[in-house]
Amino acid sequence: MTSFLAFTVVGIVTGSIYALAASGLVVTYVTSGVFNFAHGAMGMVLAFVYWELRYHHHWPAPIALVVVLLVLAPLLGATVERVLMRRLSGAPVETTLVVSLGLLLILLGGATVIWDPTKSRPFPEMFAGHTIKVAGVVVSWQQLIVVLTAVAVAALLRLLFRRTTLGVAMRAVVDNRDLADLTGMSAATVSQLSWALGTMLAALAGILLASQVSLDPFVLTFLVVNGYASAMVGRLRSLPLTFVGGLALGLLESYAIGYLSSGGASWLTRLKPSLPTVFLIGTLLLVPEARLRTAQAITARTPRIPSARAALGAAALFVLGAWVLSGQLSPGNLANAGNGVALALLMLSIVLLTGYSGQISLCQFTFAGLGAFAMGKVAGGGSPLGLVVAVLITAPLGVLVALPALRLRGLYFALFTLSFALFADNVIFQDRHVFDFGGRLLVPRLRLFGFSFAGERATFMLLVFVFAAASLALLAVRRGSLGRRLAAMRDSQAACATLGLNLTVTRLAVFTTASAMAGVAGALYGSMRSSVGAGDFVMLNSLVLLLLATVGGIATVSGALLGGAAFALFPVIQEHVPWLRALSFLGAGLGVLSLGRNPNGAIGALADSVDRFRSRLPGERRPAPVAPAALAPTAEVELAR
Amino acid sequence: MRLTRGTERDRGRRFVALAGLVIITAGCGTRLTPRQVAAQRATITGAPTAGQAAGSATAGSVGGDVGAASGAAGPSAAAGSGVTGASGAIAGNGGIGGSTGAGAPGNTASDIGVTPDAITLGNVSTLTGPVPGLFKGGAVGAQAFFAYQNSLGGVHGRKLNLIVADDRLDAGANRAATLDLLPKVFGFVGSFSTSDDGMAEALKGKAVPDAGYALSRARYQSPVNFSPQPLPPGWRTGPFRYFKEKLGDPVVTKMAIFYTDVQVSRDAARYIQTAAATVGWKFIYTRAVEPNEANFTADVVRMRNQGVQGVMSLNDPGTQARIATAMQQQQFSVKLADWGVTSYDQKFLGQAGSAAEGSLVDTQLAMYGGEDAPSVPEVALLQKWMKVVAPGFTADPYVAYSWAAARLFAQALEAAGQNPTRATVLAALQKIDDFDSNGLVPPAGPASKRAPSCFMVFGVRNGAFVRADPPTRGFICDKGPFYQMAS
Repeated sequence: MTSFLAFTVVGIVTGSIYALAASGLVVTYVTSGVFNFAHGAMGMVLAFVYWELRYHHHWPAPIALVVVLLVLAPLLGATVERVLMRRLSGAPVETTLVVSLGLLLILLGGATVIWDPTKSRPFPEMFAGHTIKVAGVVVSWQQLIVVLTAVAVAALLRLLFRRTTLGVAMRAVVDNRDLADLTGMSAATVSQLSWALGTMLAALAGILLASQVSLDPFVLTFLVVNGYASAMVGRLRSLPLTFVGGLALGLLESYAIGYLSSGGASWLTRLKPSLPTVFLIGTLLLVPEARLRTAQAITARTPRIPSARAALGAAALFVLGAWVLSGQLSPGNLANAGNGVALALLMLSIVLLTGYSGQISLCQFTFAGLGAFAMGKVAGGGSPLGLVVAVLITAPLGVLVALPALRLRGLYFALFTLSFALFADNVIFQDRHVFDFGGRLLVPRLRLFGFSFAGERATFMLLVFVFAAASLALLAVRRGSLGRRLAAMRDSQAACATLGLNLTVTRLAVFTTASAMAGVAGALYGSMRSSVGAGDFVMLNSLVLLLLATVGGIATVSGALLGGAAFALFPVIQEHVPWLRALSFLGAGLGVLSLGRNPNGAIGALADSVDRFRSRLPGERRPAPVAPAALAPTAEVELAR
Repeated sequence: MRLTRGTERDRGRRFVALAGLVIITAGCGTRLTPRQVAAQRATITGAPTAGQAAGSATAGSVGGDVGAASGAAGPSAAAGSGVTGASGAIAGNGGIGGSTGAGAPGNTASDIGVTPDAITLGNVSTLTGPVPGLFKGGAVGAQAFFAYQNSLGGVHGRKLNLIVADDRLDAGANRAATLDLLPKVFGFVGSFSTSDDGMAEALKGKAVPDAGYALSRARYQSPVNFSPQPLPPGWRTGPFRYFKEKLGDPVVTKMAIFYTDVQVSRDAARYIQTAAATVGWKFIYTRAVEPNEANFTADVVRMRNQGVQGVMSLNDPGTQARIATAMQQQQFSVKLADWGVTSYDQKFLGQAGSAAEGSLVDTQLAMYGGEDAPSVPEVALLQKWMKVVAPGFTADPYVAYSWAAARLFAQALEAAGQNPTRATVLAALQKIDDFDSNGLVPPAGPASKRAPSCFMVFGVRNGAFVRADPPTRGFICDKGPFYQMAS
């Protein structure tokens, strides 16, 4: 019994950390409708600023706290709202996700540039040495402060949102910005206040957690991922339930450490580190049926679909150009170019899934990893059978992932796929039967009908052919009835449901196909690299993949090619131009800004320019302006069952 | 979403979109989770990372006296003919080769990368990417040794140049960089990457010498790879016998082990437990740790309940510090706190504070951070020349291993004669089977891929790392063999 009490106390302390990390996330979502992936990163940066003031410049703790929490944090939040988020009002979920991801990269990168992560920065506990004993467990004052702060934050914010005019206005702005304006309160100001408040909470969590965990940019940024699960318990709206969720997760972990077998290889022991992820999956499965949005589109307007003839011509030119180019490149550059085409092939799965049908997946690299695994393991590796098995693994797994989550929409569906990616990172890719000794797996080059693609040029051209063929197939689908069906589903699921279209089967089919495409792409990607490891397929890569596909042009195959090339090329440029590393994160900000304005990405911008140029030519008809979808009225209706 | 309103704005948007497209990908540099970062850092925790031994490593064949590995003058390789020894900056710790001045008479362009007055070598290490600077030490160590060797006149009158390529922690890039360097360099020295299976693939079937610490199974098994410290699957048993003799059965039969929950660490934890069991150790508490875990109080409660007497760790310094701090906070003390070689880091001392006091750590490197400089001349040399080639760089294990690899290669180069070819250097490397880089590392067999079994012990006293045993220099070699496992 004493042990049980001790584990309970420990669980409450850990749970309070999760709750605190999640509460700011919930506040931001409740008040802005944006699931802020950068929440942890904002807290991390402000914790570093606090360290800088407190321990580097030796400011007294109270002054440093006041400056960070009451001046800098609100300023950062208000600035982010003004510069980035305000323009996203009413924008589709994936745009807000990508923008907040971009912000995460800026902050994470900026922090690593300013504060060299290899240097030690001791961050002592507040009131170090002061402890109390609870149920046989020594609890430090700071841990006690974390618990009390988490409780106070949940209670005070509930009061704010339920009992004060400002709180009600904050929630109203999310529900209907125009209507909120009519109440006499400026929606913009209220929104800015909300972000200031959310960032204050991020800073508070960051400072309190830094001494509990460590002042490490990555650890502090991603600790909030564990908080997602507790935020989901409160369905991203209820702070008290978020607190309860945090406590439940903390207690679960503590009891698992306390009572499950220590060591050994039982699945229960292996599951222990994945508890937050499993908890998140379980919570998402219990989330009630999603509402359907009526008038919302992924892109401002549907990109022009080339005719079959034009597409064939472009594909032939692409292959020819690649052949000529490949003759000029060194083996090293060919390998880099091949990586780019392989990544573009993987991005095609996102074009189908997100660009055409409006579903967001944050686990495409996971499927790619399983494809690479098949290519490396089946028939000694490098066999065409590996490609077949890649499809046989990823397609059914796609069904398994999608089936329980199909009733979820938008953010929840995206988070479900993210949970799966995390689960794969923690469990599947950590299994020594998947990646061999040392976490690596050799993936031999493909051997086909007696011909081995061992050379760099041969493998590069193979990838070029496959990309061209997959693009043609994808465009053919887009031109056909299925493509129109997908476009309709993407533009308005409610309208489709009203017309009697069976969205469930369509969504399932698309997700499964995209999973299989990712599996094949992963098999070829692994083969191009010749060896892979778990680190090549981490969840964060899937986020970057989505981000680059969106920046390139998520609904176009040329956007995928551009995104894939960028994914592969930029590290090479960075290697040769070291100073770009410092500028790169500012560049990420530019990319984010461009997304807020141009959801069709770079290819869309290019197409617009061509249209405008043509419209200025004598005799050309001026294209009719198209209303951007984000400005179209958005409403939510419950899907009648 | 906004409509376009004017030409200026359109131009700006296009610029921003395209600039963003190109530059935003730099964010890829941050695309590792804490787990993956930990995985990369865990690769060199003293944990073997290579595959099954391809050579004739034989348990029990190392052993021997401490003095033999304690930084005596001159390299200890059998093939080290032409060694001058005393001409180095520090007496008794010589460089290699007796020639002075560049371009000795009779020198020819005998092979790729060789000219009468210089030899160009390659190094493929992780310099940028998800964990910037992760294995920069791999390049710095070789550069430092070459700068030192060149200050003595090079080898046979040829200066040693190093072309460093970055693999960005990407096996594809590692392979690509190796392929690009192949027509330019004579061989590879000191390359450090967890993705070095890319290099192994690129060198497959080619007689190109590669002296460097292999981290992947493929590179380890490569017949052209010669590691200054080959490490097949398994663990040294010496430290377990050593601590058993010092602390007794009641301690070593009630041990706990913490390890990062990544495959490399899990494998290492398995090797430790298996090897330790052969000398009577027993681990009664094992725990896989997530890189961002904050609170270890529950572990402390459970360890106390189970009567744990000693703790070992295969984690990053931050986690080690958090475990130590939790133990201190709960007033739980153990007889042995061996935090592992990764704790030899100022981060650990800074974060753990007084909780680190009394730790005892066994390791297979001299204290390259500088504590051993007065007693181990090779450490002093490394420190001196590292500051010359990379001012401000803090020594890490990769610098030390890369320095040792460069010395190994230079030794073979010297033995290969005045006009070396890749084949003659490979032949020379195949004869070097007793190498300790003048006491920087314990003796090992690069040619036969024989793992080192000697070790030393350091501790933490008054907030600083101090050598504990042997008290001045060298390694303990008489406590037990390297216990090799199948996988």
